[in-house]
Amino acid sequence: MNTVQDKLEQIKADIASEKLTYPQIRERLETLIEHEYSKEGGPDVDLVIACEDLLWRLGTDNAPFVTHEDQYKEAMRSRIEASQRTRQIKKPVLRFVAALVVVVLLLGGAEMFRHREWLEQSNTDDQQQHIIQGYAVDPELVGKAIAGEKEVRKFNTTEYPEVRDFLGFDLPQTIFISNWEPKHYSLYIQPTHIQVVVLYAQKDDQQVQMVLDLRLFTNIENAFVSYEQELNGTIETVENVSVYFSNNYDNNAALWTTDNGVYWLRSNIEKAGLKDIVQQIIGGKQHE
Amino acid sequence: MSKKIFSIIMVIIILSSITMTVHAATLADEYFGSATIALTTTEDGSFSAVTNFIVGYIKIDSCWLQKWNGSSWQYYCWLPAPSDIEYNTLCYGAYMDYASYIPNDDCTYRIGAYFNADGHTIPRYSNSRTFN
Repeated sequence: MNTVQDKLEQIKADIASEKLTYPQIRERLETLIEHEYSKEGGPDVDLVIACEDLLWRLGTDNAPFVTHEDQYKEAMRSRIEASQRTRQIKKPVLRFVAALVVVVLLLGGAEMFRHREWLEQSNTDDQQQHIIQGYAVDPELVGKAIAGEKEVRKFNTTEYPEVRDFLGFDLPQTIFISNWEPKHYSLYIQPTHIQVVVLYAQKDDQQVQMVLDLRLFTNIENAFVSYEQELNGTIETVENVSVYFSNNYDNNAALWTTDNGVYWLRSNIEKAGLKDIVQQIIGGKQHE
Repeated sequence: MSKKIFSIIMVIIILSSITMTVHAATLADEYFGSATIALTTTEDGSFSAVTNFIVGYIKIDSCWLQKWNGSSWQYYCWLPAPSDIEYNTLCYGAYMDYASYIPNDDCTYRIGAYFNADGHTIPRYSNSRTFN
């Protein structure tokens, strides 16, 4: 047993003896995962999966862990053999990020970490749609086939645990918004992106609804999405993030991007109310 | 005289209001919040849509390929539309392999498609790409 695995065993022992608090356990497991990803020879996939499994069980009352171990191993090994490069995670690895990396690798998007890539927003010439498009500067990416089957995996549910099971990872917890109840989830896994559409109803008035369209692109160069709008879109800064506010008939909409993600939130509530919700999601104020 | 001026001003205001309303109506879409086709680097079409409310069905009616001739987009060929239909839903997703339809001839192409929600149809176009 190597030193790192000893550490994992020690963490397990500490959990059993209740020496560590949950945040401490999480921090140690995330540090272990981070350490694995920073190793020159690539991570010990078994160890990473074991850590993720523990994180999962600790955070979900022993709900069954949906693993993609075989595919993960295959993707990781071919990636390491092909390029002998390492994956650096600069910040402490959150459960969501670690799991997202697994999904990204599964869908063949590992190349995205090696190149300079970015998402840009613009309007179409006729102003009819607001577009998000991804760009990449590495010519190796152009025309390169994306691993994985060319099909869409779909899933609809009203239960969040089923979302977690289908995706294999947790969604950012800040999408659970105060005073709004998620009523329905639609999930699509395409070779180019994962799309999560959440329909919310206001707790006080179920007739007032809101939709979140979250897209996580697995290959930024293939990122392209457009949203219908009228002419009066404006960009405002919310929690240091540029958010594009527009409207489409009776709906106000807010749009912002992360490294590889696009958030689009729309509702027929007032813009000020929508902005408060955007602030909750971006600012990390979780639903109590 | 002042009555006439007032009437003229009112007519101008009403006409402006109608013009603006029509303009806004043509720029937004009552049914769709998003209707997107992405032409990927692997010559695939990724289709997705989100509607403004739950609809009876969403589907793609037809698909075609356009070629840029240097000054405008020209019809190039029909493409098979996704057979997927989503019922009682807010969203739609489909993925099609169009590699055998798109020539690798250094020319620029894009995909067009009609999105259909409960009979309300809108044409939308993908991003453009050049393949060689």
